[in-house]
Amino acid sequence: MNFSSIGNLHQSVKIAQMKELVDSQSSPRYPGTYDNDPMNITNRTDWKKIVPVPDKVKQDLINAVKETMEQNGGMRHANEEKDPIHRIKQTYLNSLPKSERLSASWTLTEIYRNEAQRLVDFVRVKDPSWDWGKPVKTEILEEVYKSPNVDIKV
Amino acid sequence: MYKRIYSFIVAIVMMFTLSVSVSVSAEDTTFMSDDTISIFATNYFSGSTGTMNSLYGNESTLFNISSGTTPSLAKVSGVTLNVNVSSGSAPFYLNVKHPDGSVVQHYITGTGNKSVTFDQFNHTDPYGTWKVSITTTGIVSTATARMTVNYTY
Repeated sequence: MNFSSIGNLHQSVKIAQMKELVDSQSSPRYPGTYDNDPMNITNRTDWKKIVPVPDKVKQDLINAVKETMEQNGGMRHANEEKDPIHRIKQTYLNSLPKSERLSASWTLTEIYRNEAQRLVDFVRVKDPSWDWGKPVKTEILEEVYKSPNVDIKV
Repeated sequence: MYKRIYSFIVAIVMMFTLSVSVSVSAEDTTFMSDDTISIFATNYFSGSTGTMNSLYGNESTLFNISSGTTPSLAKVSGVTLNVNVSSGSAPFYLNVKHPDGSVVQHYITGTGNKSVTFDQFNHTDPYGTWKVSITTTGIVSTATARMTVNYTY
């Protein structure tokens, strides 16, 4: 073996090492953290559907919307620990297996949003100057709940 | 004669174009619900991560981005992340976690500034704490990101 072939061998090893380094940096070696997570919605839309939820949770949410309207003019609490809607949602979602949480979350959001829309529409008719964050006159809220007409069959 | 027909056709096309553009812009601002016209307003919140480092497939530190207070009718209309990838970084997954726990991964290659838009969270509730992280698919990846969540109400 002459010196030139040893030199070539050395060069080949170096190139192979560099190639391995480049490959390791460019081709996926590790999977994504959430590849198999049931709450991964990267390529899914099937979870955006209404599913049954307990009547008590629905009613608690509707009461929480009323409380939000009364206390903060329809604005959610700056501290999420103190936000009644968030608290009810999270408590219920955490009681479910991960595979059921997506659609349950979608359903709960639809329930309280429908109720919030109903209240906001009513308040705007009664007090056109009302805007988000502005206290709602007590008599207007009382009027809303005199004939509730709350649809909790969502 | 031909000139008159041509003018007539041009006038019809212009009227059609005008009516289409007006209806589109009207759709942007109002919608009908139970015989009530509601007007959409838009708003957003944003926040930045610190440096996210991911090694050997392990998830980086998760950074919290809070919505602060939002109207109770708020609905996500788009999520955008401006990501700055450090040189020498291997391709990685950018992970964005909604306050309700749903998560979206986006594969990012190359270095420098990237802009990524997600529509998977559209129509969900933006309220709460969002989490952003990265997971390298190689040896090491480093990035920072600024996330903006747009919503209507």
